Amino acid sequence: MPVFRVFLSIVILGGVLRLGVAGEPNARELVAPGTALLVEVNRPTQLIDNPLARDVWGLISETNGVKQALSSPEVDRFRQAARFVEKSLGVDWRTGIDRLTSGGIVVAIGPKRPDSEPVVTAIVTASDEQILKQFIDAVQAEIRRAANPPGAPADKPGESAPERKSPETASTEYRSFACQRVGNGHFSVVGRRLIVSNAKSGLEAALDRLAGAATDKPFDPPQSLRMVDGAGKPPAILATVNLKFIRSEPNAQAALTLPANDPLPVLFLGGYVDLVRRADFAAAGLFVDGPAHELKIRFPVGTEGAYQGLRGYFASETTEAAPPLLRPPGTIFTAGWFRDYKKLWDARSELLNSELVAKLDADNAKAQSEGPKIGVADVVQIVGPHFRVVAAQQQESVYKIKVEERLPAFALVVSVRDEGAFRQRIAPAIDSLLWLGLASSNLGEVKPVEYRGAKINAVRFTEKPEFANSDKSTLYNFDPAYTLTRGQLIVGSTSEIVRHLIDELERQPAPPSAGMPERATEHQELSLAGLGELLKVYQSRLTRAAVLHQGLSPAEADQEIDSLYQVLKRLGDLTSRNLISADHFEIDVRLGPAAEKP
Amino acid sequence: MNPVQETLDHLQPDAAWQPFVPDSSNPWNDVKVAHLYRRSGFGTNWATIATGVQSTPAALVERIVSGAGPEETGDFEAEVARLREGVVKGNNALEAKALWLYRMLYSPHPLRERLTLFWHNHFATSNAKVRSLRLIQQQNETLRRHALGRFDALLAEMTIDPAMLIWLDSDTNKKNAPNENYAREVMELFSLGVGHYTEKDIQEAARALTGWKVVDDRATFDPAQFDDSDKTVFGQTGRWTSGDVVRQCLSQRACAQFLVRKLFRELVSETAVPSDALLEPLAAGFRARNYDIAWLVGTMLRSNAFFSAAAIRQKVKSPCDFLLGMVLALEGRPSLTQLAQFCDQLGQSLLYPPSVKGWDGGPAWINSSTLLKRQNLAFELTRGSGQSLRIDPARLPAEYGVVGAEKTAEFFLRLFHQEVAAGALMSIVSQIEAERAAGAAAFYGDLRGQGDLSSASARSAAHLALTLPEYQLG
Repeated sequence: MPVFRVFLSIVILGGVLRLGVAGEPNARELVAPGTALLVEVNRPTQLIDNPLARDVWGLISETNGVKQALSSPEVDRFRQAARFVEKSLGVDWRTGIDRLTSGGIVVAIGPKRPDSEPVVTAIVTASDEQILKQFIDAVQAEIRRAANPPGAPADKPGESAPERKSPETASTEYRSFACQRVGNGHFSVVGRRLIVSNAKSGLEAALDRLAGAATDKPFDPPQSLRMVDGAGKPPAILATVNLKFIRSEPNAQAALTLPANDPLPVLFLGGYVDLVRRADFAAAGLFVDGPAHELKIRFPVGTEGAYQGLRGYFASETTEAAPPLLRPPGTIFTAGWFRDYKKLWDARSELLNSELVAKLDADNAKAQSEGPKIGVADVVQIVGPHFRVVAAQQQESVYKIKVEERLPAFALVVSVRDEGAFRQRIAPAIDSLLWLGLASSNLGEVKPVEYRGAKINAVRFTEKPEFANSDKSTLYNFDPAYTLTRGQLIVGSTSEIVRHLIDELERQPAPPSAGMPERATEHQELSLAGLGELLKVYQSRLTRAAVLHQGLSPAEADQEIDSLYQVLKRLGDLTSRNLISADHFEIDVRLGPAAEKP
Repeated sequence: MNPVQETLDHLQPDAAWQPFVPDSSNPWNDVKVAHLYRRSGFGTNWATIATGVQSTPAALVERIVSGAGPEETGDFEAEVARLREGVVKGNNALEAKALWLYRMLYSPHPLRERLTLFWHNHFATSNAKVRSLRLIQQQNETLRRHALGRFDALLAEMTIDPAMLIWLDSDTNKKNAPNENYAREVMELFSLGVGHYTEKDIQEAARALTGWKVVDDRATFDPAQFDDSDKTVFGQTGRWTSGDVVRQCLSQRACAQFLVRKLFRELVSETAVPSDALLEPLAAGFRARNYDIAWLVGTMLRSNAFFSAAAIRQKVKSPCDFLLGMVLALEGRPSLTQLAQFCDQLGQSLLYPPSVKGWDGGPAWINSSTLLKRQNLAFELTRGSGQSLRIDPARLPAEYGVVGAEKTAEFFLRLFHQEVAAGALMSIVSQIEAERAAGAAAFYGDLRGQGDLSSASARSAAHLALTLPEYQLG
């Protein structure tokens, strides 16, 4: 199926949609309402030709992994396809692909069918009719040539060469449009537009709409999912999924049922489960703005009509929100989220089936009557709805034994509603467990220290010389510590990060209240440059792996790691944020140069 | 009689070990150069063979025995030390094997690695029992340090090597409960061979070897556990220690003969069995030079015997020879952990020899299962995808200016076999032509605009040349 392969290559590469030709319907208007997934490649040149892509390509093109990938048969086939485009259009492949697809590409994927592949229909709009015709003519000539190559041996002298096995082809007409079939592929060229499908019905459905003969409306998601950037431009790629088809899947139906039979999806995905239950569509748009790439995901439903039991899952415009991000020195990753587990606990009979609720209640009652006498109900009552995690490079160690590969320190910061209850009921239990564990293993001791008015309980491991030159030295990456201060419980892998977080809490404002612009249910930030610094920490391990596992020379391995480090530095930060409002839910993920930090 | 044996038997002891001097009837050619590189290392590439043919046997052997200069060696050892530290700390056996393969492939002194492998098989110690990559690596370094040094020093160090102490239970050999394991093996396998000692010698030597144990990864002598009384070994009585036992073994006449015979099998031929008389000049010289291994090895590699028909292709390639030979010839850089796994699959798990006797070697390397695996691995390494991506047989013909089906087939036959048998050539050419015809109608066929072979055909040619039965012989 070489022709289809070429088309597929084009579809993957994408094109630019230009709504220009008078009287020509928008390609998405040719898409049937029963489409499960619609992908619109609006501004593809941005995908392969933007400052970040150029920069990164410059750094990685000489690395072993990329060189290997470039020498693979798959890439070789792509290269051949690109050469074919160049040969048939007489321009370089980038220009050729751009001209062939400059009006954009729309790919519609139908719902799953029980006994065959889903119908996939692609509509490719070229810059003009002539260039498309030139290309299609070349493809057809190639098909003919492949079917009967020049110089193919004849069976007997004087006879013509035997027919070689080639894809079956046929020409037909539908509603006065010329249609072609090549193997299982069906296509029609209408003006500057190529419509191609893996099913006759797919092609005909698009042609029906083109001829104005369709009786139903086209694929029609809510207008709020037609995303644009600040300048009013559509995203480079927009994918719209029809959730009704997902909901109709038996497995999905089970997962979306509330009250649920499984507590874990409710605990970890509860709010998202509710969104999928209520929204008919969701969309994701990729925007490219200079070196920054932003993915925006939208659901056209919000707090209005939300499942009663899941209030408390998302921070909304009318509730508290996620706490501000903490950025101690050397931060690699920082996240904050809002989740009111007390509300979820209180609504447990709406969220879980009665059997699960009865079991939870029994377990809670048992925990409240045994040992430290703390049940889930007590914990969610004491602990607040604000959570933060941080990973940061360690600055200094409390140990004399130096660890060659120093792991990042990490910490969890949780708001506490009732500090008194925490100190009275939970802290003694934690301390007892720590003392008991350390005493029985003879591994170390707990050292309480004061810092800015907070009492930090830190575990200091005993330094054993025999651990120094073995993998056990990893232990000296940790001096776990916790403290309760300023309404927050801080638990860290090192006492240093706990101290740094106290400094951060000192200088940060309280969690934003309703209406503040930076409000979010969850937000996080990964410093790729910080991640790059970690590569340096693990340089010797990575070099060894590259030499022994990939067969690189040590010099090549070092160069590869350096390239990766440079790439990570250029990529900047990966940030994400989500927020629910009355009528929609949004997730924004951004990769780009680090923004100014507060 | 076996013609190879006949050839060997015809060699006069005096002439056999004289340096080989080529003449018109017995010229210096690629067959002999490739043979030298296979036995003194693990093989080499086309360019090195071609350069070797331009040299002389004496000069080439001299270069191989002396290895690279101190600067190059120093750089390489620094790289290895950097890798070794992590491997030992991580206690990763697969990486430890891969690191040794790295040395075998890229060492500036391949003969030293070849002999390190030989001594690893001679003093076969398995990490399966030692269970410490640190100690096994330490032993490996000792073998390497003495690989071309003096055997008396090597034997003395191995006797109190921590891994060896654990492997042969010397760390439990105490005054009141002597353990005879090491005493038996030092005579039977390490220095004399069966028939050159008595049970009494073993019992007495075991007592002399008491008192050693491993503390903090070091061999430590504990006088309290040493049997300080008189012992009689090889008819001599005294308050012998472990050092004395080593000295007494080395003083036996059988010792040099035993080692020379074993090295003959490693470096010269395992098909023909040499007579004592043939080996005696070497044994006498070895003894006279205080067990100087470099002299013995150099003498063997330079000799008429080494370049005779009794030696060339008279060994079955070990898994290391087979795999590394392919990699070196094809100038690739594959995953070394993958190669280590391939070695394991073919029966040569480095650092884990099957017993104190080491690997049997010779025809034992080949059976129906390992032969099939060898063919499959040859395919794996030449197919140009997956782990073998960094081995590209298709690149070589172009680099050496070889064009066309017949020339490509000839190139790979010469590269791997240094001979071009007409039948083999025809078979490979017809296979290439068939593949080429099948590919001619491919959609992208003429877009390449090249008259040379497609990379798939070149890979096929390399693979077919490697699957000829002769390639199993080194």
